[in-house]
Amino acid sequence: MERYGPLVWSLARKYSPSTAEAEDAVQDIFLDVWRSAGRFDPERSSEATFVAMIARRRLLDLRRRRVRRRDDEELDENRLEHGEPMNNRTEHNAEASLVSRAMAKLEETERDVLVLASYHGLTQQEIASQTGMPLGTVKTIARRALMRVRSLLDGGHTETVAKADADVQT
Amino acid sequence: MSTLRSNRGDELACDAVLFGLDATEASELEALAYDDEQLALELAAAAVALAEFERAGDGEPIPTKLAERILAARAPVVAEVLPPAADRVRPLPVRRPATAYVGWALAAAAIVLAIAGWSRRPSDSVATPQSTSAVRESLLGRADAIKAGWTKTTDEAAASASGDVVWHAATQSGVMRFDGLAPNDPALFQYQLSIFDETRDEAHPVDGGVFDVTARGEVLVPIAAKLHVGKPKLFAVTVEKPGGVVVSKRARIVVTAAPPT
Repeated sequence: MERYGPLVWSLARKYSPSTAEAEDAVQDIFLDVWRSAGRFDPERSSEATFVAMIARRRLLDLRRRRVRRRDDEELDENRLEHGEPMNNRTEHNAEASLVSRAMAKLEETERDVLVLASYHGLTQQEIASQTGMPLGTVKTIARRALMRVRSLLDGGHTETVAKADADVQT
Repeated sequence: MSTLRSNRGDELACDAVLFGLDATEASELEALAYDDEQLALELAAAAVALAEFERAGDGEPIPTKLAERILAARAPVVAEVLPPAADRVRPLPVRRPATAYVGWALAAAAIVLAIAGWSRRPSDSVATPQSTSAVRESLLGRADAIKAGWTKTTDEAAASASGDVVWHAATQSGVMRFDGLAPNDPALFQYQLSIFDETRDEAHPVDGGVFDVTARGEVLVPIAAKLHVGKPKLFAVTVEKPGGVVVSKRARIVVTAAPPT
């Protein structure tokens, strides 16, 4: 916790609407990390990336639950039961320098959208408001940027990038 | 795999990783059996988040009380996943099978120990942040850093405010210094920095971060720009609702600073 506390705390505060919810999220995340530690594969990702992945997964899940709760309250419907199965495998090694190189190859708008979504935890609508891009453009660029980075980190699967570009054209 | 299936799977997997899906979309993605690709995308997004965290250098330790609460809750969980103590200290057999499983299990135990705080080695993979004061001093020593004094408005929070902002474009880092800016109750309102960039539309300034002023006197606040700032032309601090806003309506501008041209 000493080692990854600042990373998890930083992400939780960015993704959470209040300090109290960020604190609850941090506790959930560390319990998730401890439970999932047996699934960590050092040949496929660094410890820090593994922890960041668990953190983001939990924070997105909490946000989805908040939205669902709000929608349910608005619709006066019974709250849906929801469980998020943990995906147990890690299969990717993302070194910091490799990530930096991959990010450097993105267009500025791609980099902006990807950072706002993956690090700052902004929704598609919030990114549209922050950048002035139409919502549909945000969605397209976010997908393209993530697939580009995934491809670059995975050794340059150019066909994936080409497909992402083709998707943008359609 | 058909192209149609692949394209839809990619879309849903990316959306799931970056923004989350609603129940209908989640069911659709599950039916596409996209687990492997989704996991690869999750790791890519996590790697980006980690890189940005290290670049921003704005990490803070978990509050002490929260850390204590988490440590109190960890015992049953750690007990579930850790092997018995004797296994943890048992030397590796000389002729152990060279399978991936052994290394994998040991690494898993190591991460549990490290995260549980039982292994207190210094961080070697997540940057340790400098103090804000040290960052400011470092930036002031750089010839290519810019410094601009705050100009206060008529807003009551700025009645006694002064100070400056230091920004270094190459490292995308900066520090605001305030003296006399009114302390705020974070439950009522917070301050937020907007950075107007010559390379961006003025209607969409870069969010420089939400912050509190907890004491009178001099306060140093690190700038946490959410996006790359090309050439700042104005720094503006506004009063916003708790948590800040995506784009300020600029109803209460407190101080501004225009870098020298």
